[in-house]
Amino acid sequence: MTSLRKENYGKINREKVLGFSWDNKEYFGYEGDSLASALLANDVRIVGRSFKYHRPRGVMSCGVEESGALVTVGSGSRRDPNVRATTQELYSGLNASGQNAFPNVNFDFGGVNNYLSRFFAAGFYYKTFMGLPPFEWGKGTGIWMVFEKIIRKAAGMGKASKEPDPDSYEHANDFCDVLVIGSGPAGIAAAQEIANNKLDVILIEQDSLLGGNSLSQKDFDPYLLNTQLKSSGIRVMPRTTAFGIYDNTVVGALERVTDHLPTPHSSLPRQRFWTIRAKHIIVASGALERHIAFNNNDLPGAMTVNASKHYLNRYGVLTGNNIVISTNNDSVYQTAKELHEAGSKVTILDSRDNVNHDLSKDIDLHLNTLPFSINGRKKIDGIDVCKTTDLSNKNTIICDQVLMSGGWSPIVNLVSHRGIKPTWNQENLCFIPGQIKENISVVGSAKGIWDEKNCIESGFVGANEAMNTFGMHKKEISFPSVGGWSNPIEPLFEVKSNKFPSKSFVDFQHDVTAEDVRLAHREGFISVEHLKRYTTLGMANDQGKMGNIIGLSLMAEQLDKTIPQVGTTVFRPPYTPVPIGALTGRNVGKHFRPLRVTPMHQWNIDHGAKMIEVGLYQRPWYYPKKNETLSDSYIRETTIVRKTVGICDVTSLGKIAIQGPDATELVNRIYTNPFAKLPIGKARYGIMLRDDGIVMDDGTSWRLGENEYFMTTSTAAAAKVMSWLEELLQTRWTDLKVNVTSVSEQWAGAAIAGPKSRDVLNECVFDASEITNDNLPFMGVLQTKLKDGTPCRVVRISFSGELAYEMYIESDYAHGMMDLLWESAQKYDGCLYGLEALGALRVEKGHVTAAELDGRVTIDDAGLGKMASTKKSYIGSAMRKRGVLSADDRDMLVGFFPINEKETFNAGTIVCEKNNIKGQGVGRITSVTHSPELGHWIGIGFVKGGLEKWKDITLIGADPVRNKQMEIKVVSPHMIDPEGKRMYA
Amino acid sequence: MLNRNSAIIEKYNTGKYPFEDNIEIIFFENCNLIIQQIAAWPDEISNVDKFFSDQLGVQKNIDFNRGKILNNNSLWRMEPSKWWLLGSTINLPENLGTSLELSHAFTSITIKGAKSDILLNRHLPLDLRLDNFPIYSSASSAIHHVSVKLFRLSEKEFKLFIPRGFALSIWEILLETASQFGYEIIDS
Repeated sequence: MTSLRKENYGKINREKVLGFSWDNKEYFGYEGDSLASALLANDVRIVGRSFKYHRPRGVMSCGVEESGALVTVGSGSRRDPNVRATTQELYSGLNASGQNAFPNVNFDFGGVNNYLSRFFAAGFYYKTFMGLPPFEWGKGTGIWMVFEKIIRKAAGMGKASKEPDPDSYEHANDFCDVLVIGSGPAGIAAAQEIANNKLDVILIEQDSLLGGNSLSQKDFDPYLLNTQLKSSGIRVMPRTTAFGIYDNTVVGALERVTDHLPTPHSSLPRQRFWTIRAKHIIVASGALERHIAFNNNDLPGAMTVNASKHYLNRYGVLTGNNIVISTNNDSVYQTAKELHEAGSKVTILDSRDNVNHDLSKDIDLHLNTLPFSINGRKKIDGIDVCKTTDLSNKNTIICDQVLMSGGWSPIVNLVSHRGIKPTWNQENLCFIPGQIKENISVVGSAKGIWDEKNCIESGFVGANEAMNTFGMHKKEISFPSVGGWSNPIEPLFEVKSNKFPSKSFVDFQHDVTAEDVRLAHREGFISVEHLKRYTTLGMANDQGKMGNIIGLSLMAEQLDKTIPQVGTTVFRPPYTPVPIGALTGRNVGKHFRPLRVTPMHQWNIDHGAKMIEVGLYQRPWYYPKKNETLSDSYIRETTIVRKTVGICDVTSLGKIAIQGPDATELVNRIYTNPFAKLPIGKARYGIMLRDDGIVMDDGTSWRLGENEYFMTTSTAAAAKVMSWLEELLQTRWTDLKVNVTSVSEQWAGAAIAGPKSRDVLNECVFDASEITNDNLPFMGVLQTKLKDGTPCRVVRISFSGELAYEMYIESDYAHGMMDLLWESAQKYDGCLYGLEALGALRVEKGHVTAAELDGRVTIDDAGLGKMASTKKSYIGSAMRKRGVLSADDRDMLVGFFPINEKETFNAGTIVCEKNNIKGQGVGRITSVTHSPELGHWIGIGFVKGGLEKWKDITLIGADPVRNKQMEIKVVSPHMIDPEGKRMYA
Repeated sequence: MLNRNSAIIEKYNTGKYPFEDNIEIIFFENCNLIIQQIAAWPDEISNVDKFFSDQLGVQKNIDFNRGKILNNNSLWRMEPSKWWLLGSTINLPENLGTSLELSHAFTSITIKGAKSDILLNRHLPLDLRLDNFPIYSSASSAIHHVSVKLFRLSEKEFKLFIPRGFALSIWEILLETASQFGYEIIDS
C-alpha cells in the first residue's frame, strides 16, 4: 500500500501544517487530519501489533470500530494507551507510538508468537489452569504459574501511566425535549424537523465534524451544516459520544473537550461526563461495515471499503494505488468509482453471480469470486482469489491494498442497553432494532435503511414520532423500508481455507480466528455468551463492533442453525470506553468527598491545631507546642484539663430542634429513660434504641420551653438520628404535632472542662456571677449572653468527668466566642484540647462513643441498663427483652489495664483466655489511651460476662495484626472519680 | 454583639478571573442572612396563608417551590408545609405551626451572568431552562453530595444556599468549575 495525499480532495486545512511524532520519528499532517489519516498520508503502514500473535496491523477502518490502529498517545503522566488512531484528531506536537511490541511495531520480537499460534488457540489460557501436560495432569498449575507472568507480558495492549492524572474532568447535566444521537443524514433531518417545530433539540456527534457518513462525500461541507443547524436553534455537541441510554430516557455522554488541543488551557477539563435527560431520544447512530473472514485478512493494507472512501474525501488520502475490493453487496460500487477517479487501479471481487452497476471499463469486476488469501508479510503483495464454486483453483491478483465489505451492521448497541433485543433481517443480513416501547425512535441506517434519501425520510418520520408522543399532533407514522440496495446482498462471512492453522480473523482485536470459533464449538461452548467469554470474541474495547456477526454466523453453521436461532450477545454500556477520570469528575484530591468544617475551623488552625478527618468533618486532633509529638501533646492537654481548664471545639455533635405541642411525647418515646417530666431549663442524657433493641445512639436533650427541645447526638449518628425522627413522624406517629429540624449548622459548640471552667465561663458571660452551682447545677441549661451581648446557650454537662460545660452560639459568632473563652482560659493556665485528649478523658471515665456503640451493643451491655425505664414504652423496649439480648455471657463493657504497666496496647486487640488464644477470644478492646492520671495505658471494651466473671483473672490481649501479645486484667470502666465528685463540684 | 463571620472568608478573594478575556459569571456572598423557617401544621396551611396575607401583604398563596419578593423581604415555600422568610422575622402564633431561626445555618451565594445556569448545571441535576424553572422558583437539590437550596431571581441570576459547614468546600468547587467561563468575585 502506498498512500498518497491527493490535491482537491478532503476537508482538511492545507494551510495549517501540523508536526507530530510517531515512534520517535517526525512527520507532518494538516489541520483536520486524524492521526490515522496523517499516518496513512505519510505511508506509515504498520501501526500496531496484535494481541496474542503480535501480527503487524495497519489502519483497518476510519472510526470507533478500529481494531488495528490502537496506539499510545502522549507520554509521562499523560500517556494514554489503546487510543484509536482513527478517532484521535491530529494536533501540533502530538506524540504517539505503537504498543504491545518490542522494540517497535515495525520489528517486534513478539512476532515469534505468530509461529507458535497452534499453542495459543481459543481458551489456551484457561487450559493452563489444568496443569502443563504431561507433567502436571491433575496436579494443578505449578509450572504455569511461572509462565503466567511471561504470557501476561507478551499478550496485551498498551500500558497506562502509573503517575497521577494531571488533567481535570467534570460532570455536567443538561435537559432537552429531543436528543438526537448522530449527525448523519437521518439525524440531521430529525433534528431540523424538531427544531422547526420550536422544540428544544440537542444533537450529539461523536466526531469533531458533523455529517456522519456524509463526510465521505466529496462535496459535502460540514462547516456549512454546522452553521445551518446552529441558526435553527439546535444545540450541537460535537466530540461527544452517547455511550449509554438508561432508564427514563437518560443518556450518558462523554465530551472530549481538550483531547484535540496541543496545550490544553488549565481551566478546561480534559473531558466532560454528561447526563442528559430528554423527553424523547432519536437514535441515528448509523451502521458499521463488516469485514470478511479469510486467510491473512489482517495484513496492513486490509481495510473496510467505506473507510477508504472516507480517507479520500474527508482527508484527501488515497489509501492504495492498486486496490482489490472484495464484497457481497452494492455499497462498494460508488467507492470503487471514486477511488478509480482519484487515480487508483481498482478490481472488484463480488461473490454474487449477477449485479447491475454502471462501471467504468477500467474497473475490473469479477463476479462469483471470493478472496482466498492475502499474500505478503508486513505489506500486501497480492491476493489469491477463487471462484465461489471452486475454492481449490486460485488466481493471484497483484495489489497493494485489499478492501472488504461483508455487509453492514446497524449500530443497535444503544437501544440494546434498554433491553430491546435486535431482530435478524435475513434480506439484509443484519440485526435491526426490535420494537421499542419507550420514547426512543431509531432512524437511518441504525434502523437498517441504506438509501440516503430514505434515511433522510426516516429522520422526518422519527421526528414526527417524537412529536406524536408529546401530543403535538397525531400523524400516521410510517418509516421507509429496511434495506435499499438494487441487488440483494448474499451471505459472505467466511472463505474457508484448507490450510491449518489459518489466519482467518473474525475479531482482530483479540486475535480470534474462524478456527477458534469452531474449536469452541467442539469443546462445548455453544451458547453465544459462552462463545464470547471462551474465545474473547467481541470483548476488548471494540466490543464486537467488527466481528460479532461473523462469529455468530460461524457458530450457526456449526450448530446447523440460523443466526437468529443462535442469537446475539447483549450490548451493555459504554458504547466506547469511558475513562475512569471522567466517571470521577471533580471528586478527586481534597474534593474526593465533601469537606465539612466547623465555624471555628480557621480559628483552630490559627491556634495551632493539627486536624483530623472524622467522617466528613475536619476536627482539631491536638494542639502541639514546640516539638511536641501527638502523644506529648494529648497527654499534656489531658493533664491540664484535669488540673485547670481546657477548651474544645465540639461543634460536630448533631443538633436537632424539636418543636411543637407533642415534642415531649416524641422525646419520651424515643429515649429509654423518662423525659416526660424534664423541667424547662434542664437537660438529660439519653439512650435511644433501634427497633430491634440494640443501641442506636446516645446524646442529650435540653428542654428550652414547654414545647421546644434542643437535642444533641453523637457526631457519627447525627444524620441517622435526624432521618430516624423524620421517619417516625412521617410514617408511624403522623398524629404527633412535632416539627424536627437539623440545626447542626446553626449552632457552634465548645466544651469548657476542668476545675476552673466555671471561672472561665463567668469571665465570658454578661453577668459575671451568673454561673454558679445553684444557678446552673449539673445538667442545667441557661440561655444567656456573652459579655458583649451576643446570645448563647450554656449547659452543664461533662464528657471528661470534670466540672464542665458546653457553650453554644450561633455559628457566625463562633470565632468571637472562642476568642473570649481562650482569653479567659489562658489566665488559668488552661489549654486548647483536641479529639485525642477528648478521647483520653472519656476513656478514663468509661464513657462510650461510636467505637463502643457499634450496632451490636445493648443498653445492658454498655452498663447503662438502669437507664431503661420499666414504666413506659419506647422504641426498642419490647425487642430488647429477647432472650438472646439478655444472656449472661453477653459481651459487657469493662475497663482493661496491662499487667505490666509499661506495656501499651491497641484498639482492636482481641481478649483471650490464657492458653486459648484463638478466634474471637472472649472479648475485644475498643478504645485505648495513655492515662496521665493513672500513669499507664488503659482501655475500655467488652468481655463475655463482664467484670464480675473476669475480676482478678489474667487474660491475654492478642493483636495478631501486629503479632503482639500481652497480659491484661479486667477492671471497672469507670477508672477516674467513679463517684462523680468532680463532675458535681 | 459580636460581628458575624463568613464561612468562606478565607477563600473569598474579590477580583476578576477571566478566561480568554471573558467574564461570564459574577459571584457574591449574601452576608448577614436572616432566615426564619415557618413550618405549618398540615391542617393549618390555609390559615398560615391568611397569616402571610395579613402580616406580609402576600396577595396570592405561594405554590410549593415558588417564592414571592416583598418590600424588604421575600417568602419562599420550600416544602409543602414549610416556608423560608428571608430578610426579616415575624411572630407566628403557636397554633399555626412552629418558627425556627436558621440564619446561621446556611451560606448564601449569588451567582449571576451569562453562563450562571450552565455553571450550576455542571453540578446540579435540575432542569434550569426558563420554562421549567421560571423566575422566583426554588428547588432543593445537591452539589457534590451536599444538599443545597436554589432560588432563581432572574433569567441569569440565582441564589444558592449551602449548609454552612460545607460552604467552603462547595465554594472552592464552584470557583474551580467557573474558571472555564471566567468569573468575578465582588464585595459581599
